[in-house]
Amino acid sequence: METKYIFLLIEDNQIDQFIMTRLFKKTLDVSEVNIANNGKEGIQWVRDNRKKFKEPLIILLDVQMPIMNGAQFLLEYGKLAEELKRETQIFMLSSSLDTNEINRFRDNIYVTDFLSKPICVKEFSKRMYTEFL
Amino acid sequence: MSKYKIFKKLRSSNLFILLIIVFLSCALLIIINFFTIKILSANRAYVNGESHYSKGQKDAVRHLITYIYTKDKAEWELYNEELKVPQGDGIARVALLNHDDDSVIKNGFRAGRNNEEDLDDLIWLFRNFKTVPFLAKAIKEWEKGDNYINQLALIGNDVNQKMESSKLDPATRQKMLLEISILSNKLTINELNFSNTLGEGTHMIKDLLIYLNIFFILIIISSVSYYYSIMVKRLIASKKEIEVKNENLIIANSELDNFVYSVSHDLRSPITSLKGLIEITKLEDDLEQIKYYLMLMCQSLNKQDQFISAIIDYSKNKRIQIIVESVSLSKLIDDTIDQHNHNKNVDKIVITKDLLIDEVQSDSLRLKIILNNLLSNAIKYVDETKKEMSISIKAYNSGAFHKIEITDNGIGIQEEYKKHIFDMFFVINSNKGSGLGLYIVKETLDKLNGNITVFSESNVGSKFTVTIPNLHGN
Repeated sequence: METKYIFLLIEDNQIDQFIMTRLFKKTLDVSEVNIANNGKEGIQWVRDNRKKFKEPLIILLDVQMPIMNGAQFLLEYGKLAEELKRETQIFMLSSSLDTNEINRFRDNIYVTDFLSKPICVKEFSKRMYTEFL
Repeated sequence: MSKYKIFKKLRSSNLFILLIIVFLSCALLIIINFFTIKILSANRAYVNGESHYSKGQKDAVRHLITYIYTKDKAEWELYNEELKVPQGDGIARVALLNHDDDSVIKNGFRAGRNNEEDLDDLIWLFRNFKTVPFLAKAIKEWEKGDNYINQLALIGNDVNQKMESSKLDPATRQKMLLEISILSNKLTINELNFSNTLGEGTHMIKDLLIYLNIFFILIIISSVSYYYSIMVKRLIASKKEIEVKNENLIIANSELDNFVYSVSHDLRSPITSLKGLIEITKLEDDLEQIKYYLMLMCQSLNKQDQFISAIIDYSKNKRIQIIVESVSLSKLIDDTIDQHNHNKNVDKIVITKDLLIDEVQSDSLRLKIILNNLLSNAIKYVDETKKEMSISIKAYNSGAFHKIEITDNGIGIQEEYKKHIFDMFFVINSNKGSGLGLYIVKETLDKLNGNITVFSESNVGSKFTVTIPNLHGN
């Protein structure tokens, strides 16, 4: 991998967390994937950690989570300071096939793209690179 | 329920009564008006008749006096002619009192110069109202008048006789003229009284008619207004009912949309997880790791299975009728505990039972659902940091209710989430459940006319108290 990224996975399902980390390790050779169990933990992580590293951040955000879901996360994310939001791509994840939902999220200014679970990591990595080129 | 039915019946019979009142009032009004007009018309006919009577009588007297002075036979003839008028009325009166044939009566009235069209009314009024005060008084005057007419006739005959035999000397003549004059004056009074009495009667009847009309019209107006106001009230109530039903429908629709969205997510999620696990299995060579992935797949499928079971429980509770039968709480609780024996933590948890009651009258399917969900939660949310993990199940009677308490020393529920735990699809940790358990418990208890309350403190534990009505009576 040319550019180093920092990854944050915001996902409540433990099995899906496990799958993502394994896939990233095996396919993208990414050894560290940060994990937040819901939107609230995700916001907390960004607040605590974004300034600690200079690499671009990729957030994989699940739509359906307890306590704070994907949509609510994006709302709170918008309120964060600009320096916390620099050089960040957000990819939505969902097992939902609702096109209305998909379009709604694609229209959000912070969302780069919408991916259906299970994500094909190879496709994802291609899309990841093209964004920054 | 039956109170409402009785009230409804009263209401519809109320309306029926109103309609009958209106109908009767209209009918009575028509009848009263008809008869009053008939009476007034007959009264008028009598006054007309009196007019002819007195004119006839006065002209007869005039002709008699003229005959006395002029000895003109033509005057005598005219006198007889004119006298026939009041005499005719007299014949009619006597015939009416004697219940003679109508033809005799009518002939009498005809002689009295009454209008042909009035004859039936004259007879009708006399027959039906002769005892009514004002008419009775008038008839009395009439009787007196007829007596005087008879006396006048006798005097007339006397005069004629004396005239024919030329025995009419000035003294006798003077005497007869005086008698005639007195009679005529008396008759004048009678005739006046007759028409005045009839006049009074007419005024009385007119006033009565106006009052009755006003009375019945008021009744009709108020009945119709009352009927109208009832109808309008009903319309408004029914409109409100429709609005409420519409609002409920809109809410139900939106809930359905929510439901479909959540269900499709919870059903599809294990499948996407499974696909992901298969992907990483394909990339894996290590057998131990593969076995681990297979275990995770099983876990995922179990979760999906549980979710589907929960949906089925929800549906059963909604669809199936309540069956009240004898249920043994101790047996039910033991069965529920057995069902959870496969759970990894169960061996370490101390489960105590304190059942003061055993047999209750209730729906066993639903009690099973409730106990299963509550016990399952207590096991799922244990606090593994505590030295001893415990769950206690109590059952006892309280007033008109049975109470079942399930207490645990698990992780507890944070204050901010307490009011949401019975909401559909509400979870704090989605790995532990799908958020249907407590919702189904609440729905089930609603069907049983029961209740559930929770007492909980974070990191300390939770106590769920289920209340169901005591249908025993003991």
